[in-house]
Amino acid sequence: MEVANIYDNGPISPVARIKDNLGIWSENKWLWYQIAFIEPVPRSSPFMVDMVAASGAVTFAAYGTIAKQNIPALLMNDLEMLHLRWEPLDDVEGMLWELSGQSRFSPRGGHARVSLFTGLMDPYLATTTFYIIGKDKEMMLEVRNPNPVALPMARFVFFGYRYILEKLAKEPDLKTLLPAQGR
Amino acid sequence: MVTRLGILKGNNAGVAGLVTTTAGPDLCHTLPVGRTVKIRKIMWSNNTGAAETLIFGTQNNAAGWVPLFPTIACLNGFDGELLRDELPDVEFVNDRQAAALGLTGNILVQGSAVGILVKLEVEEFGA
Repeated sequence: MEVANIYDNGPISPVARIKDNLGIWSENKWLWYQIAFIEPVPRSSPFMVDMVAASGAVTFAAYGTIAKQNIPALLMNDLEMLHLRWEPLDDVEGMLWELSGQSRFSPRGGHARVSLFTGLMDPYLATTTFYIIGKDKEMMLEVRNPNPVALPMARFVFFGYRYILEKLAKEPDLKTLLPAQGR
Repeated sequence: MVTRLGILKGNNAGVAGLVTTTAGPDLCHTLPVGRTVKIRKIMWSNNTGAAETLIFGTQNNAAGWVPLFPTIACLNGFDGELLRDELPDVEFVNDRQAAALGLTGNILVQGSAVGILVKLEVEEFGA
């Protein structure tokens, strides 16, 4: 199995091997884990969400916004981690939030959006990589319509890997460091 | 020459997408804010009973007609199409001039008669 750099610009692959140690930046500190299990989450319909339908609306207004909301398909249990890439299937823009208060992919100058253009120059969607760790740490997705016309759908698809983790009491000597939280 | 990559779309006028000419400039594609657009395919059908013409262009901020393509002849009773390699690489841009002569960048078609059916495929550039 190939081991990727965490933002490898190639196809997605696990950040480390089974039994490797991970240091995950979350909750504003490094947390230490060992990987117990990894399985892929292929790009597939259960991990496609139409945010127009999910918001209870029937149409997405021109230049409109769908308020950020949780994606139930991406909920995790404790000691589980999702490692995902994503893109829209319609001409809409997605903005990633950690829980509801922390914008992700967000330098001081603005909050980046993932659009249909993202994959044109980044065909493996490496720059869309993010992580969801454990229960009640869900991501939130806000959606914008950049079109001057209303749209019937705003579909997004997610794919990647699911990890099962075991917590370590202290920092291991050998580990892969994973910035899973914005800072 | 570098070829830029954009996203291909049907025309995006706020209508179903098939334009029926009214012999005045008819909106085919509304340019989204922050993007530019090129026509990649034109398809038409003329069943009006006479030979007609189409001209593609845009409008200025005073709603004045600004032709950007040469006249296309449409024989009666025929459909026709122009594909990417046959079309000039005209980029429709909102040129941001506040004055009346500023261009909107929207794509419009001027048909010589009422009732010519027109469909576009466009490529939008942006981020």
